[in-house]
Amino acid sequence: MRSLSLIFFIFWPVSFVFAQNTGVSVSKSSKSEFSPRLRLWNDSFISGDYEATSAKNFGFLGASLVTPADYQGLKMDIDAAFAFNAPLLSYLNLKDIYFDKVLGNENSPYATRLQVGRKRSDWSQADQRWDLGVWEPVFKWNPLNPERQGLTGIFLIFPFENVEIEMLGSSIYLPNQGPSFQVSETGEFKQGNPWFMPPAKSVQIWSRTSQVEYNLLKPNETAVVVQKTYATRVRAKTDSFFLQGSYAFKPMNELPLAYDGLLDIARDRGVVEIVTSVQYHEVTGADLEWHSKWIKWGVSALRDKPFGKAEFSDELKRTRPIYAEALATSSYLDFIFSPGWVAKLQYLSIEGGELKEVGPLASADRTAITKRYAYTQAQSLELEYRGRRGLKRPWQSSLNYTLSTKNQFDLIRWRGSIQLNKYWNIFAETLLVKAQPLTKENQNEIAQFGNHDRLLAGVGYVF
Amino acid sequence: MCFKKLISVLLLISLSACSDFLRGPKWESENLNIPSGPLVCLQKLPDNFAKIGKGEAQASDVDTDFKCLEGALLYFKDRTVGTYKDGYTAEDFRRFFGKYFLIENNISKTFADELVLLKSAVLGGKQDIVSKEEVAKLSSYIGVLRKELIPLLPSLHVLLLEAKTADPGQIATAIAAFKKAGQALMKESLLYKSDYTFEDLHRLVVETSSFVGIQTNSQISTDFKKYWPLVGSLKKVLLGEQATLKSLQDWMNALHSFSDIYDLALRKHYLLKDFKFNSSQDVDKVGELLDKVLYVLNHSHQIKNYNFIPCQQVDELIDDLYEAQIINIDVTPATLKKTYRTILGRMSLGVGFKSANEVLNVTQENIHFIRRELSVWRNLQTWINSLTPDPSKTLLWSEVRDSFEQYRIQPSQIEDLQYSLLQFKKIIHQKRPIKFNLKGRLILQYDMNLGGVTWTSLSLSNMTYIFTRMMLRGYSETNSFRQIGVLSERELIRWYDDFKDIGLEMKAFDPRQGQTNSGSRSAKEANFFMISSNGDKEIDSSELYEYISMLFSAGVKSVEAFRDLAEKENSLDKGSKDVFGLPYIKEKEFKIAVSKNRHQLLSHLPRLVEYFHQFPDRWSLFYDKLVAAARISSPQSGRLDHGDLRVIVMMIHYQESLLLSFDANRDGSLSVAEIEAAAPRFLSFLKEITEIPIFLKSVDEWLLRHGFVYLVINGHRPSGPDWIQYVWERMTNPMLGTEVRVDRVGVIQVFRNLKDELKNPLDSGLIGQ
Repeated sequence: MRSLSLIFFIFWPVSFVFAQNTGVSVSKSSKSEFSPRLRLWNDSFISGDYEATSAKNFGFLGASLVTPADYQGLKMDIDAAFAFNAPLLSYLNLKDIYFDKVLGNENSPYATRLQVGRKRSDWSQADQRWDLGVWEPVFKWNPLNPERQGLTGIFLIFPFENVEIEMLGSSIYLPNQGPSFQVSETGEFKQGNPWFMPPAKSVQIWSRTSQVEYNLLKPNETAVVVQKTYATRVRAKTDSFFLQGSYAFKPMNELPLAYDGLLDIARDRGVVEIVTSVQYHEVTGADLEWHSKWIKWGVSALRDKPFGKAEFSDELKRTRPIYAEALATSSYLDFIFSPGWVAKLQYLSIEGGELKEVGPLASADRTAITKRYAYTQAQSLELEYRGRRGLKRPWQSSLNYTLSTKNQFDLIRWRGSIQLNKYWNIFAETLLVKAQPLTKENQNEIAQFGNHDRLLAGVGYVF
Repeated sequence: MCFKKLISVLLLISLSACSDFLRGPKWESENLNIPSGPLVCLQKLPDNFAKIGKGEAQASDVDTDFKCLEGALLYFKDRTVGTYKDGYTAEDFRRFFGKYFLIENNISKTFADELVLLKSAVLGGKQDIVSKEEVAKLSSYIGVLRKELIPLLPSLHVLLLEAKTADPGQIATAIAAFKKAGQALMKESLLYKSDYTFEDLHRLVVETSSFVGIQTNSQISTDFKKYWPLVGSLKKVLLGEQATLKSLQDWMNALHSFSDIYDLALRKHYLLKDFKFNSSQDVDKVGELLDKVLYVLNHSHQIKNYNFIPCQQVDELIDDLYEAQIINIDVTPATLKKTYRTILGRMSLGVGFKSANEVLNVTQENIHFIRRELSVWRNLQTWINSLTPDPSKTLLWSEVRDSFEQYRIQPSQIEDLQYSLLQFKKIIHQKRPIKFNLKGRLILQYDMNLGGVTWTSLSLSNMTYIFTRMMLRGYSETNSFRQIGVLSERELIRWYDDFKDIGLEMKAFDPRQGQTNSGSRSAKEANFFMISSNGDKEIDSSELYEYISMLFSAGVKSVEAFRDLAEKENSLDKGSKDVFGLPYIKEKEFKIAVSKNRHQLLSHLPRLVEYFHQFPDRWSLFYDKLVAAARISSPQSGRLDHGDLRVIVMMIHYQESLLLSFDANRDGSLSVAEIEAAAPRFLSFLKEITEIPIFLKSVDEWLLRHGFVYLVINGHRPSGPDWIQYVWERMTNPMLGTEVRVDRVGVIQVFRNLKDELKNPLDSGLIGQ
């Protein structure tokens, strides 16, 4: 068995564990000090049609570390989990880890800040709210519930009275983090991670089927990581309004994959060799938001324009992706209708952004193996509560319903937690997904998880 | 309350949604697909190649199909990997074809091995691996093949034997195109550097034919197995047992030889198919074919390098020709081998030839000999062809003579040819020249212009002349460069010895004669019964020419006509076979049939027909005596066998020849004076069979001449007293016998009596076949 460290680049684990969010929330409400927390939970797949792995229940032991918002120095939001008997499900999610330094008068709200490391910023509401992964990379441990991670580099923030400018420069690039997987000696993807949907086990070669063997060529890691990133955003703001323009020149967060298929005659195997590279793009964003005490309304747009083309080894023989320019627009309305209760309504539409393959094995009838947008149209309604109402102890709950008419899926996510005392809390999460089969016109990443309905329950302890 | 309601609603929504959400279609990862790409077009290739094989493909088809193949090979190279990182084994190809193309009938392991070996020979590289680079080379090589095949297309149907007809020009064009393409392919290959052997090629062809046979469910495999040994034998004959082709030039020469053989095969297929000897074009075809055969032999690797081809290799070729049933005659291979060796020995050694076993090689000298004779034949045929394009048009003999006088061969042609024409001139300037009619039968006429001649009859004469020349060249002790000599009886005995076996097996000789040598008899017949005969014991070219002509005309053609008549008139006893394996002839019925049809049957002997028209009552007696004289079989059987028939027909012709020679007043019978005039021709023979007392030796010729007259008039040899009495009466009465006439009945009676007296009818030394 060979475990490929390359995978961290190709399908660089991603994902989001709601329990961890829950933990953060709890900590914010109960602790203001820098404190770690531990969690123990069980994750069950509840669909009768589930068959991604032989096991349906997975036990986890997790830990997270979140620094308070006002904490200065090394700030971090880190989450890690160890899955019992399912090592591929273990993860480390570095959302933020950066050094924060105020330059000049620390008490001045207009003091320039220098931040070095990995840090999430408000680059684009569309990117944040829908976890598009255009601006910032996403943790896609669970692709149905991606979570954004910070860009890595040197940040400079210049706050003014009505203007805020943030600049980023970097020569380090960390792409999206996808679910982990293993490839056996015989080139087969092992069944071990429910969130990693392996590619086809067989390949059609000249109309006849052969078992496929994957060969993932390990890239030069330094060459992948050392990439230029420049980004800036300028926000003009008042008490109830802001207008933000942003621009970035950087590598796309999802690595482009090129491949080459051969028939190994001697072993009667289709050998698919996959290589990766880096594709640059220019991202231009515009955000407009109006908010009051009870309502927040805004529109956000971002233009994702590929720059140049990814370079692959043996390029001529590879089938490789070609990106089209995309324009993503989102509008949102957050309404606090009662203390602790928030209703969120938002809409997303992505125009363009097609990903087609060119090369010897390209086929208009088949989806490209490189991923870009999980879906291109959706609307969601979310109802969230934080407080003590009815239970006399802190609890929170969030119910999200996402629907896409274009991509033909429905996604219901519910999560909740109750703080039992100063140290202990319990939490749960449900995820229900319904998706129509993919068609040439309907391409998305949700449909493959149509049977991944899950129920999670656990307990947390804060030190 | 509000909170509880909200929770309830949420739970309700959740539960009602669950059933929908918890079921879902099974996710199937989308299959990767390595598209067929350029391989798609391969599906059409078998049909398209079949079109090419039938010569029906257009240039654009070939261009498309071969480009498909080129592209497919490159695609295969790019899209597959074999046992080795950069190469494929034969087994790899088997697996590949077995899975994707030849699912039901894959190529055999041996066939795959042979293909890889061929690759090694043509493109170089290892003998058990095909590298990716070599696959690319193969693609390029197919590109060369494509470019060479396109100009070949107009001729392809001829080359592939798919044309209904092809004239020599079309065949020449096709072979030239084939040769050009072959040379181009050879230059592009590394064959000349390889150690690829004929045995390798043999195995490849066997496997290919077997595979193609299975694929197409055809007899091709059987055909290949049947004919391939021939290719091997021909290769041995032309290239030698251990031919070592080490240079490009060697391979080019081999290709040249192969093209020549191909040329021959095409000519045989197209030009000799349903061949009939009916026109100058037909004869030209045969001439060109024979010329080509000799050219191929003369330019073969063996002749060029060693000046000979071992007879053992020719023997093997003969065996294979028999095996393939291409030679299908009533002669055993052993006899045929002995015969050709004898001919070769006679060609090269002449009278010095002793035994066929001593002839070990076909030499360049042999080939030159045959080429010379072929050249003589073709030259004379050119003249004959120039006389008239219409094979059936009748010409006067005087016209023929005049034309020949004006015929001049090219000065550049061999000197020997000039002399051959002079010899032929002697033959056609005979006072009573031998002429064939359209049916191949000799016309025996007093006047050379009577009966006329045609292209066909002259062509037969030419053929006969060539046989005469070759026989004299092979057996005469008196040959010189400019002059062909004469034959003696001894040499004809040798000839008979040489060809006895094949003659017996072909039933040309009577099998009842066993070890008896008929050469002596033939010598006498040629010496006495031909128009040119002089009885001098030497058989010159005119006598031999006439004798061979008569054997062909009477012994073959006329006998055929008699048998046809017997068949037609139901005179055959089909229930029983004679020693020749032919049905017996019912004697009574046959006599009636011959008598009724003698005018047509013997139309080439107009004097005979005219005589019995004038004296019809004599016919029956003549026929009876003729049969009695000729008969070899038992008279009591009431049947005639084939040997009887041949002697009957020969006797008729000999008799007519004698009458033509000696019936000076053309009254259809011989007077005493005419018999006396004929006597000198037979004196030498009479001396042999007659004992003259020593005291009469000084007048022996005088006595024998009178004895001969007595013999002819009385039908039997005189006894001593008869002789004395007859001589005395002749001396005392000069007018004695002036009224005596010996007609055809009488002549036949002489033949009969002589045969009876000499006992052995088959070796009477005078009459017989």
